[in-house]
Amino acid sequence: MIRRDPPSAADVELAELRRLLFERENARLEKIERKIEQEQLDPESVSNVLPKAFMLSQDDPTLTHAMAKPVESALQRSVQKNPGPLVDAIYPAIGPAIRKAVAAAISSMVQGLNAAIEHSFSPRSLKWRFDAWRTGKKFSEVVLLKTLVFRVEQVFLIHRETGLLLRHIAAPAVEAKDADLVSAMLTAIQDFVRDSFDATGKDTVRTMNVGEFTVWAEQGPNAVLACSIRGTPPAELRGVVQHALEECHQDMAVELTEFSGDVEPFAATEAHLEECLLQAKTEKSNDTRNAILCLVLLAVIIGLGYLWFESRLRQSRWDQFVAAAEREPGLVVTESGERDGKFYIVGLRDPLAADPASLLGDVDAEEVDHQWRSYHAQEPAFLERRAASALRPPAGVTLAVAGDRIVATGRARHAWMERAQVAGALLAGGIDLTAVVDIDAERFAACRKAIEAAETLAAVPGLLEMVRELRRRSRALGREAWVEIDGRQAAAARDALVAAGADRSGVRLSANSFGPLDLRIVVAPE
Amino acid sequence: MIQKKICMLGGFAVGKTSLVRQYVHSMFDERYQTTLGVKIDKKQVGVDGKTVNLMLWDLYGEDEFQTLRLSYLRGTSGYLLVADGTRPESLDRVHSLRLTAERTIGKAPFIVLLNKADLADDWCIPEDAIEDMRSNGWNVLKTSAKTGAGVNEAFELLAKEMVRE
Repeated sequence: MIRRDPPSAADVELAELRRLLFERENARLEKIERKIEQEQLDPESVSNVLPKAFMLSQDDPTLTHAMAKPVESALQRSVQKNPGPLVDAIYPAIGPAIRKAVAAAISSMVQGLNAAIEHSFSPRSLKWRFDAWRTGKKFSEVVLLKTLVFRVEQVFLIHRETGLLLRHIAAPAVEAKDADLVSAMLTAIQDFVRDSFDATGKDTVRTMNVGEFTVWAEQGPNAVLACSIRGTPPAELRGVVQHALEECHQDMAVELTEFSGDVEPFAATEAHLEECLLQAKTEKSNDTRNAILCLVLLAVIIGLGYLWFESRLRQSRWDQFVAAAEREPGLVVTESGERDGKFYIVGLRDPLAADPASLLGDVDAEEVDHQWRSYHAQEPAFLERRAASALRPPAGVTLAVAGDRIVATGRARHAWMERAQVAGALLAGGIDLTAVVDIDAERFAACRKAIEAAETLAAVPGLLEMVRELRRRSRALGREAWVEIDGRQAAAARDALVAAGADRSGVRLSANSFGPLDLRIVVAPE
Repeated sequence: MIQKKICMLGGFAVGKTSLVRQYVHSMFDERYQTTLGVKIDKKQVGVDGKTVNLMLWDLYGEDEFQTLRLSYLRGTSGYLLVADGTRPESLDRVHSLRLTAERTIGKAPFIVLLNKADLADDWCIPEDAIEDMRSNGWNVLKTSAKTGAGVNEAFELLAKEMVRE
């Protein structure tokens, strides 16, 4: 318990002095305090302190909590009354937010797609996979890029209300018609379609297709970004266009809302518009692909032409061979053709005919199947050759064909003639040897005549040699012949011949030993 | 460069299209008027040393087949009201179109063109009617699509009015 001392006299006097001096001021202070406590707050004074109060309470969750409900209601009320201002206000923010959400959804879808095509293998997919690895992109992104072909050719930034062209850019080498007029007419078309089909008047034509062209018109609160695109634009491009439009709105907010026809400031938007000038080509441009296709076609045509030419040449060579074979004596072609990629020829062949393989010319011997059966050709040349082959005539004999008969002329030994007679009988028409002189018979007769004409031994020069030849010739003729000697000097003559070397059985004495010397040839009976 | 959208308004067959045919840069076929209800041309004029690009929306003259599409008036900085000097009723149409335009886009510079001024013998609009309009502060010009009289002046005057606005 605190124990207080009683106030001193000085304190009491001081209090009294204070009361006397400040009595009026104290009364006024009390009055003001009461007023503050009792009276409502003045809006003007509140407005002066409110911003500061909010700033001071930034970290105070109570303020946030307290404001949540009124702000919510206020927004609801504002949207119900007129959504336009709010939409315009949040437009630059809501686009990216939505795209972010959509991108997240697409990303998960792409991952699924990625997994689905992960196992697909083809040369092209392998190449794309390599590209994905090389560029660090997802495989599915590469697939999308490679399969889409488009080119943004012109970009128009158009003032939404007036349809006036704020800025226009075109891709290199694109022939752009009057962009001012195109811009205005695009706006007119938008108005026309909206008037005609959209009762609310809020929606817009976002896409127009004309042949291979697509016109995209993205609408912002104050401007429209229209792109003319050749080909098939990917959905991602829409995001690029929207982003560019948002950037334009952000950078040119004042110029757009207060636009009065001066388009110079909008040159600053060109960088944003250029972001939209995109293009994507397939791995090979159409031109390249067409050129390659043409080359392939040309190669195929040349290849086919070559094959056709080769085939014709091969056939022509074969036909020439068959014709040559048909012309060739001793060959009879009964069938020819091609089977299982190989030629075949069937026919008869005289053994004495030329070898068919020698007639092949440029035909590849490996490609030909020969099926020849032997026969004897009846042409004179063949008869002759066959006779020559069978008879082997000696040097002094000539063979000729007369009809179907072989006629021999000349001189020949008796032994050949006998052989020729036998062999000629086997030939189709036989052989005629009447024109052939038998050398052995001729010489035998000559020796006989010379020996028999001798009247003395001395009259026969070379008698011994003649006797010997006579003996040889008679044997060649298949007969035994000898010299028989008559007369008184028969014994002396025989002895002289034998002594000179004659064969004793070739020189014989007759029973008649009278009269003059007579030599006579005796041929033993057959 | 300054760009301005202007509209060409007037009754059917008052000569709006003929009026501008020779004096504007045109890309689109006149069939656009009967299909879309508008044909857009371009005219460049100089005002105070500046080039003004006038985008001229030639709106289809209202008839029994087609009505004026008011949405085409949106964003217009000024307009030309065309009447046929040989048809007094076309001037009544000009008055009603002026009111329509004013209701749609608010106050904006405009010029009344009394066309076919070359047909002096058939001229039906009295001078006092013209003076009445001028006394309201309106710009009224006589034009001839045939001779070209007053056409360039009309565009230049409207451009000036719009730029100074």
